[in-house]
Amino acid sequence: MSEPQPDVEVPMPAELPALVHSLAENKKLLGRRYSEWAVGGPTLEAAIALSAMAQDELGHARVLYGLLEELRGLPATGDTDWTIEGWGLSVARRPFETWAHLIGAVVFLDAALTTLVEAATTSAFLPLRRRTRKMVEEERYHALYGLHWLERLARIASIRSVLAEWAGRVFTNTMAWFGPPGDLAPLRATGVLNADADGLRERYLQRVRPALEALGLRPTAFVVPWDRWDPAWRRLRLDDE
Amino acid sequence: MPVLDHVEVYEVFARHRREEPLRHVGTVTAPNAEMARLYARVIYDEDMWDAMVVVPRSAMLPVEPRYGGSSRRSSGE
Repeated sequence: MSEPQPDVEVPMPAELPALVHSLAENKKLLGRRYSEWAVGGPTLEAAIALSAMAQDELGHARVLYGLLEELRGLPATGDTDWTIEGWGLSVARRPFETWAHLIGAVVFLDAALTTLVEAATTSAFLPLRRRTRKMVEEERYHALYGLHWLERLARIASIRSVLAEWAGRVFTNTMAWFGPPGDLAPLRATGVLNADADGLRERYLQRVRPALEALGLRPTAFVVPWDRWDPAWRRLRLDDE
Repeated sequence: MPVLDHVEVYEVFARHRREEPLRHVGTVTAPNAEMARLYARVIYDEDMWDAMVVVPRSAMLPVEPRYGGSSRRSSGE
């Protein structure tokens, strides 16, 4: 990973607002999903930690909405000004059915969002860099929490099969979320991110590989259906679209 | 879910300033030390601590049997 760039602002790249908007919306959705389980965890400690994680995600979303004000050049009075649910990945749009689904989202969806955030911590675009460093620090605990619970749950055969099926769905959607091959190349070329879509996907894969293995899943078993890629919303099309 | 039953009680100690002794602030129940540290961090982070540590209750040795107290109960509370 490259060293942080000096404090110079590069011109705002055209691709950045949509990417930040997608990140903000999906963090907000994830925060909501976490909060729905914050009173339903298997232990009080697990529930409290999840509450803190929900607060983190919602806080990150709010910070990113602030960045959108700068990027779009439009004043916003609150996140409702920016809310367009079309950005949300299909796997985050509905409450998670079980604790296993929640944990699968922590491990596979939260990690994808964090992979992008990490790639912005060395950004030559100062407003982005300034906002992402604290997020990465907080996300360390989300990753620890998710992997720990996944490994525990994966020891129970009946839960492991539910988790594996769900993980496959989330993994396919998040692998797509980074964009088609070659996407985000202008952001990498200008130093706004330190990786393009392919680089981010590879980092994400390395990050979640232990979890996939714990569930007996092989990454090569999942093929991203690029014919369903919706460039306007930066995600795979929903079933009813 | 029997796998989830394997937990241990950890005592949480913290101090505000370096010159102060660590004092007991509570407990967490966790399956391992790593998760105990995570849980202690989110549950007892209401102060700006100089230090916070977790100790497995099972590692606390009574000076003699009659002083065993709650340290004899190491898990499942």
